Amino acid sequence: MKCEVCKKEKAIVKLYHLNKVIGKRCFLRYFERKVLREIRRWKLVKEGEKIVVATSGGKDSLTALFLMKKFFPKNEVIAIAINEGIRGYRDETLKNVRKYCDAWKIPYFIFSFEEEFGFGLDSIAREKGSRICSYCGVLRRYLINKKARELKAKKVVVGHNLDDEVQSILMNVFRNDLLNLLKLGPIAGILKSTKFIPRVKPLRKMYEREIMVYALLNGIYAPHRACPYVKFSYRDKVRNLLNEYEWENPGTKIKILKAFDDFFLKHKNKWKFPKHIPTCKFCGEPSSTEICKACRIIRELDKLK
Amino acid sequence: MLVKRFGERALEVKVKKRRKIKKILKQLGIDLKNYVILKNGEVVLEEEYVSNNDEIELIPVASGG
Repeated sequence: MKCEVCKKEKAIVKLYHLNKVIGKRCFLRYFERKVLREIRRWKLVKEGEKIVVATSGGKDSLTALFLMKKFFPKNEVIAIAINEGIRGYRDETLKNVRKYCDAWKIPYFIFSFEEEFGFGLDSIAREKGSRICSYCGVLRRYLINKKARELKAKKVVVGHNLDDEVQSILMNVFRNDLLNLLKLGPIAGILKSTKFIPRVKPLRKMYEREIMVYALLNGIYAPHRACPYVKFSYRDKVRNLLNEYEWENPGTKIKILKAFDDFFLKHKNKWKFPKHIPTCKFCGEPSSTEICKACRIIRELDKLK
Repeated sequence: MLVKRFGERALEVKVKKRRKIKKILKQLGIDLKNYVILKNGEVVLEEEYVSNNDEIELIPVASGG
């Protein structure tokens, strides 16, 4: 089969949402142009900015890291990875962080829950059960923001893809959580603060499958086991639902994102939010409540000891 | 022909004559929508033909960020 774009090369991948088969060169051009367009549209990264890429060692964040280095060669790019303490999972993916950062000559730091908070996720999983994923997410984002700020980064780049973004949109719609819905978008969050390093998502329009193909074509081979706690996550159920629907109705995910961008992002500025962000009375990090979520979790877990 | 899937034991499949990957994998009960296909290390479509000497690797699409 020939590529439907150039009509010359052998087709190697099907873009289901466009109902097109495409060759290697045309695919790489399509992918990179689409990511660059998203970066430029929302001004996600500027020339010369120091950026931190939150890297888990999976295909999405490694692709984001690869592209930041490629698109912004003059920028200082640093990778940070978080070891939550999930044995048999995180220790495996961190090998990829070391491997590719060494190969691409990108400096990296690995921070662990154990060192920063005094416990790893495995040690609290039994008590916390299905809530373990929200604990993990809160503490991970807290640590990434704090460390990015200490490294004096201007932006944190994350590898969130179209699938991730649309799952989040649906989860918040299903829960009628308007505030969290408004926090989504190409630049996460609503309020600005010198203590919040903006978290940007250059891959948010790319299907997970497209990222996997792009990664493989660029020599990034990073398959790994699923997180052992995925069975507790609400997200996993939404993912399966969405995948089934997308398979029968290709293009659903990109249409949901477009609807979100067209409606919510336009109206985000019309919502009234407090101008001043309070800080946590324990750690001094930005927090909408007297004690931030991370400190509440840490104090709760301290009581379990 | 060897069929490899990450985290699982490789399968040895006898392919008597050239056949499309998707037909072989359908017979094995493998759901293609969850995978990107490599034939001898190269990304290929499911319509690609394979013979007994080829090695197929199925890379799961949903594999974390």
